Amino acid sequence: MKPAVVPLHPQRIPGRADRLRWIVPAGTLTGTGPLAEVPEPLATLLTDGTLTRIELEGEAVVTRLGADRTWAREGPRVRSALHAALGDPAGWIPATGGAPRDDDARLYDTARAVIAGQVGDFARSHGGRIELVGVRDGVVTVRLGGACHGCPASWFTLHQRLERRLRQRHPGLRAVRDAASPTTPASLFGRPHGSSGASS
Amino acid sequence: MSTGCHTGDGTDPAAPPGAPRIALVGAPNSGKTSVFNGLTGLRAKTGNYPGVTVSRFVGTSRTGRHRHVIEDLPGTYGLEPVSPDERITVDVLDGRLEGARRPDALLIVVDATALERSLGFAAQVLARELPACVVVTFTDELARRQGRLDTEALAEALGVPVLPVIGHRAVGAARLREQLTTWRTWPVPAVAPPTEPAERDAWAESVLAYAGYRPPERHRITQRADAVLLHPVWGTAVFFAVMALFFQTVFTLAAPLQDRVEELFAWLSGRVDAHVGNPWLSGFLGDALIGGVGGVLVFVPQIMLLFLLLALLEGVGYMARAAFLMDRVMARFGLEGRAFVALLSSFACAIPGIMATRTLPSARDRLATMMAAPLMTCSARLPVYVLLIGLLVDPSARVGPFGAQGLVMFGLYLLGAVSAMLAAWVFKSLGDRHSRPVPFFMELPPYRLPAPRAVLVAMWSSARAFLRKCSTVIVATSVVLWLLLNLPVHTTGQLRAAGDDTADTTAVSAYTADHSYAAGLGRAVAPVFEPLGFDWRVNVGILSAQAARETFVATLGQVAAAEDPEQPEQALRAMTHSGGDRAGQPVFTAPTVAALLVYFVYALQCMATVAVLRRETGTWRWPATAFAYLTVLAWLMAYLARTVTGLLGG
Amino acid sequence: MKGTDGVFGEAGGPGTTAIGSPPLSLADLAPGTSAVVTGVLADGEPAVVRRLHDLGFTPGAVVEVVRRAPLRDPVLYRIKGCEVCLRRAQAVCVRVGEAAR
Repeated sequence: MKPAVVPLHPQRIPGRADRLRWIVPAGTLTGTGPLAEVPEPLATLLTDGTLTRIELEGEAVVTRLGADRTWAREGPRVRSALHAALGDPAGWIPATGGAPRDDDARLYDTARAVIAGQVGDFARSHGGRIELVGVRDGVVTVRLGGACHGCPASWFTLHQRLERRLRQRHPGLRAVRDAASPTTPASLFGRPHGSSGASS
Repeated sequence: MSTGCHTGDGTDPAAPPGAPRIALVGAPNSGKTSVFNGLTGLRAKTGNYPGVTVSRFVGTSRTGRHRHVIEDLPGTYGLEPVSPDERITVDVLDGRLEGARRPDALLIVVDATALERSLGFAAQVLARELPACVVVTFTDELARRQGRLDTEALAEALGVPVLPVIGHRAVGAARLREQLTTWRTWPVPAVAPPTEPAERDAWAESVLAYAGYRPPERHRITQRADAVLLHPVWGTAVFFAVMALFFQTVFTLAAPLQDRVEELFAWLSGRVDAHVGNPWLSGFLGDALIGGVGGVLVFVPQIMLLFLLLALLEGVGYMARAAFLMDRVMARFGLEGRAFVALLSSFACAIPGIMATRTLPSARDRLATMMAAPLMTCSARLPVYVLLIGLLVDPSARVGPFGAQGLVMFGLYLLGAVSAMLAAWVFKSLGDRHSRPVPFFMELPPYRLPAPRAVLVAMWSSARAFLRKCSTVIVATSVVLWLLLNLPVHTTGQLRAAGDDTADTTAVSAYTADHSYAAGLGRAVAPVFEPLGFDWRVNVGILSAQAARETFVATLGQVAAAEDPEQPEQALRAMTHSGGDRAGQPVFTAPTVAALLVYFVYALQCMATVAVLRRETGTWRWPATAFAYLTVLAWLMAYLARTVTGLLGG
Repeated sequence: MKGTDGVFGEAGGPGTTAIGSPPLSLADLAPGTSAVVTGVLADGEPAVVRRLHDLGFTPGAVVEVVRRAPLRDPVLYRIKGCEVCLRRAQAVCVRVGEAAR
């Protein structure tokens, strides 16, 4: 028996004070991208201007705040509305699906954000560097520099973290590869492709 | 280098006035105090018993030029206080505590092995919207018990910095100190965590999932140990064995150590006799200082052992078990299990016992326990008991396999404990009957090996407090008493007139003491103690013991030495009433000694206890009540003891 | 020891409590059993409810009865990875769903 309330928590998006990423459990909602329709309590927040936009991003719902409002004030209302709306997964209707090319572009943006954020911080804190080389067909290629270059242990750790974070936001991710050894299958230590969810 | 102080206004003289204030908050037993010690280099007492920080500790952390005032707040499970301890924490967080600025930032200490619950608490604290950093403790234990946690992901999910720290090994302390310097940049979560329990649980679950948290396996040792230690039969047997061992260790292990200290003072005394010519100076050094203070210092080994055992039992986690086992018994007297721990601590000293009542959530339970705590046989009574029992019972006397002296000692401990329980019951029953009963709950922490440092610190700090008492209160009383006993100076003419042989130093000393200011004082209160059979010398002892019980030994030692400097022990035994109806009869008859012993069981002769009662209750009403009821009770019970012993002795 | 003194002794079982039986509280569980908390109820005592919530007795949490004290009260429970003991008076406030071994 689980509590009826869907687990969720908000996270800031670096450099985007008007947005919050609400992490929800894997499989609660499917799809990525803008939504055509959301269930009622959340829809009201869009009509009254509290929120200007709601988007799905893998295992998260990204909400954009209306002008002249603060999360400190509106956050609890948005959270309660989300809790209510997540009780009705069928009410979330995505806008017409994007082409695969769009999907890679979105994955590229996500990967850039993740590398600029905590995962990159982690690499830097260990004297290393991580660069985004490119994204193609759901495969993200990165290059390691600094202390991380050529160190299998650091690749293992970084790869795990990066993949976990990316998959949370972008379930369509197929693999993360090191540009230095493109032949290394990304799943050497990891789970099989296509499985979703954080390792736990 | 850094300074700390107990409660008070919570200011720290070592810190500049404008230094940022950072408060440590966390659940009881989350390792807060270890983190505090790691940050400040202070040696606050730590233990494995929920609620060890029974007062606020303030210290300074230094990182380069930066100084931060660190405040260790009492542990609490939530920010809706149900105990006075928790009230302090909430008041400090809200800036409502008088004399204390609201903290500038918070360090939220969470136990990695109990993260599910700790996050509920962290949610409440984060909702206070102060800059915060989360410190995760016991990460080593989490890993040992096959748990897992990604602290970086936790930081991302919480929206505040997260640092793992292993408090008792000071791992991560340097990084934490570094982190303190950046407190201004610590964020406040974008959205305050929810307060509604279902939403809060959902939030915590989501955060834990994001941080890849895997809760630890059950603690095998705790499970196995508890199967025995909390077993209806074995658990009870072990409990009594532990209690018996507790007292056995104190009395048998300490004895050889005490002999060493005694030898040291005897040697010192001999040096003074041999090398100090001036009789006044030699008398002062030998009688007042070495005789008075030395007589009390002999008990340092015993007191240190007592505190060591308490610290060990607490550090391992057995105290919480003892409280669990004794809860039902305590319930009979209207109290709860934690009151048992407070009373057990009072065997060492009533002061830590009274402070430990802060863990009692109910104000009525607290008062009842505080009123009872001074009745538990504290270590200060030991010297008095040892001296008086020596006068009452022949050391070779035996009852079955037990020495008679030991049995009397045990009886006195029992009398104190039983009286304490009854007193608690009376005070609890007299308390306001309309106040709401407070829920009972208690956490049993896993068994842990206490850090040797923490145990030694606990022992040393109490020994230091005792030594400080010896070097101030007891020295001062001894000196004043010595003066009172040796003044005024009598001329040879006066001595001759009294028919004393001036060549006989013993006779001269006896005359001087008998006509001293102290004797006048002792005689002035004689009507009060006359029915108990005390003479002026005992009265002087009781008056001087009012500040601290141990002084009684020092006083009697001095009185005896004043009467016969050559053989004070003989003098004490042979002491006779010098006037009144009982003139010529020995003072220390069995009924009188019994009355004295019982008087010491009950009387509140400890100014430090009175002061702590005043501080803890915030009014003079309770210390006055305790003082009055205990003194009256002491007199009545002493009279009873005298009468009964008189009848038995024929 | 296990199962000798609770409602859920050998005779009982999930089946016997399904219909018409009063809702269960923690105090009705025998040592060794586990159950899911459904709510905390204490008439006119919001402080009790809040504190039990703080200790982890929230709806959905799994609680296990670890053991009774030798004198039968209080009882030790395992909740959210911690061992917490409650007296009977508090345990009856915690409503639980069906018990399971």
